[in-house]
Amino acid sequence: MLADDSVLFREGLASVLSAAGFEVLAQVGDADELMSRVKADPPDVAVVDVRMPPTHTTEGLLAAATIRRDHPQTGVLVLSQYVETHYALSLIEEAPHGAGYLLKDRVDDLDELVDAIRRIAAGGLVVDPSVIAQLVGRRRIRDPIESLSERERAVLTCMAQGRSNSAISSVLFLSEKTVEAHIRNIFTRLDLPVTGEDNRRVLAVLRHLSAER
Amino acid sequence: MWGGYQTTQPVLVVAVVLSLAVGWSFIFVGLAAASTRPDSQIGALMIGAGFAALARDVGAIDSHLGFALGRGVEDIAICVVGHLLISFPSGRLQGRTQKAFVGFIYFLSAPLDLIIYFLLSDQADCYACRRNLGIVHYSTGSPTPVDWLLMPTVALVCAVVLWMMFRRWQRASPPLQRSLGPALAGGGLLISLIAAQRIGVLLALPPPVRVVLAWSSEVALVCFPIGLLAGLIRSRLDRSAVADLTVALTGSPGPDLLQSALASAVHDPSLQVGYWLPEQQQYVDGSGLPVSSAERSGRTTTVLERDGRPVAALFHDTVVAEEGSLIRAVAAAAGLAIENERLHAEARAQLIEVRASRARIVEAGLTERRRVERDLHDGAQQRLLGVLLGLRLVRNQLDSGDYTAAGTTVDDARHELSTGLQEIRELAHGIHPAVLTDAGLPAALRSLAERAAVPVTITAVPAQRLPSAVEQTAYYVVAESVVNTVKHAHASAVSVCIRLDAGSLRVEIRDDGVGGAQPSFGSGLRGLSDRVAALDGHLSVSSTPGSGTTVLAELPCV
Repeated sequence: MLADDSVLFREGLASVLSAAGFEVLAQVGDADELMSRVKADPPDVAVVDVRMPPTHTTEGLLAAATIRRDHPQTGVLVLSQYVETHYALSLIEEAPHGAGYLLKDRVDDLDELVDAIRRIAAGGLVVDPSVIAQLVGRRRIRDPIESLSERERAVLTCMAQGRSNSAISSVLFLSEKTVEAHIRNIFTRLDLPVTGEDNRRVLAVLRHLSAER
Repeated sequence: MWGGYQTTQPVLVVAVVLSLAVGWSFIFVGLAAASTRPDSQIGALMIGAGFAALARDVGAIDSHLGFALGRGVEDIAICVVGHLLISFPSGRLQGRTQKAFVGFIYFLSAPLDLIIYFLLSDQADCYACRRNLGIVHYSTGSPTPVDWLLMPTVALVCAVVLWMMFRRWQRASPPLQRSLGPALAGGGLLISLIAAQRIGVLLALPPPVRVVLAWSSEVALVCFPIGLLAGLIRSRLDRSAVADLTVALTGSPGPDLLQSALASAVHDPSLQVGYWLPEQQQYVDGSGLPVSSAERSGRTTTVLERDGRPVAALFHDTVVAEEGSLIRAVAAAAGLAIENERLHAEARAQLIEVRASRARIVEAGLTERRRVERDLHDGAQQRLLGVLLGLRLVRNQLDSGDYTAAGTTVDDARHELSTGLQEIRELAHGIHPAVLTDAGLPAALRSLAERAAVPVTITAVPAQRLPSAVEQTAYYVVAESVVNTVKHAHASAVSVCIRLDAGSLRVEIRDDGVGGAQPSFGSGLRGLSDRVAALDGHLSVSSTPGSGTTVLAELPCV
């Protein structure tokens, strides 16, 4: 199900996703319509624009929060124009599963978009690489991230985006064992509790990165 | 007998009375001056001159020693008067020239008189004869060679003294001229008479004329202190000016009238009133423009206080300060009017500042719009044009069946568009971060810290939402300060602390950089100050070189 007030963008996205094998249940132009359509026929994933009528501020985010409260089985992908940690975290933190925050630019990269929607449908978390890059790149006074190797930083970035160990190993062309070793090292360096569950891991990393020190 | 001339008893009486009158008038007026102007040495000089004048009469004692002594001290009095005139009104000599000249005058008196007395006493013209009481400069018929040497010198000295007095008068400010007036006029007459008398000796004028001249200078010597006394009394009489001032200040006189009333009360047309503005820590005139309070020679600043706080300052001629009690009386009389005008001046100064800051805010807005226009033109617009051309090219490539090339061109166009999107996003964020409106200061500041090129720590920020103008200004202050730190401070860390304190938001940005930021220079800090002032807030910057910079903005938010 797609919600965006720009008809052109909505239609384009719908045709691209249909071509990629998804079934687009509905296209709507505002949050109210979205809510009634989700209620009537809950989709696997709702793709929502942050800014929608009437106020063009954060209707999309509010709608996403409502959907996730009322329809836990429906994943939400929020498409945004803003590289803002606050939006991404506020979406994910409330219920760390089946949610994603991507820049609208990603519609250009169909494979990534399709992959993200599938992961969200499967209950995973997805965070836009540019948001993670901003978090990782933040200047800190005593920066434990500085002590990470370049490869470890790449692994950390992938992890924060919500990728699984196998996904990371295929993106970075590493064996899964190497990825696991890197992750153990990162958790030790950043003093994070080791957890096997992917979504908890994403949240822990994001919280660590965005913490005020 | 009088110096070889037949004199009558009354003439002798007159001579005695004159000689004593000279001494006593100097002594009495000297005492009066010493008590009125304790910081001036004029009183002491006058008392000295008085005793020196009385000492001349030792010459009347009927003995050789008495005559010799009288002869020796004969001219000291007149020299002291010269000293007094040159150093009037402070009584202190200034510069080597004045000191050397006065030294020379004293040499012409007792030392030279004694030399002449001892070395030339056997010469003609009866220098060694006993003289009668009261003759200032006895003489016989024709001038002697000594006269020819001495008299022109004395005349020349007189001329120099006159010239010095004239220069003094010329350079003096109007109030000083007023206070110098009687003294210099009387002194001028006196010196002229002495010079005329000496020249009379040389020209061998008929004895009656010379005797009259000698007496005239004695009369002038008696009158001179009385003239000075008149000057002193005159300044006392000025107290009536205070009463006039009180009358002039009834009602609301307005700044110009107040200033001119004060000026005429202390007889200083150059007097300027500066009203103290505690907020700006400076003096402004009646129209609200700043007045320089820098020290200048010949000018004195009298600060008027009320309840221990400065209210205004009078910038006036130094000579006015010599009459401290007058200026205090004037200030007391004008106190209420001055306080009133100070409030007016404060309002005017605020109006001037508000106008200037309004103009600067408008100008800053225009500059910002020009920058956005340039960024859009050079960035997004160019990229869109590139994409347009690319699509045109793809069209051609598709027409000619070159699908590989068309694919490459489309990829180029996608890359171009994606870069353009990024640029527009950054530009939009720079104009106004949406997260500030949506989620408030904490989220916006966190985002700012993530993007900053220097480690920024946010130690405190109120979680609740504040009026949007306050939030935006606080954000702008932090953003601009961080930009300044990155640009100028070479800092390794910035900490931001925002607290809500008694209805006002205290925004403090502290860095550990090189310091030395000047709030008055650089449009950045000026612009910040304007933005803060627009919300009735206050911005202060403390930046000592070597110990970092702290920007503190206080924003009222109710």
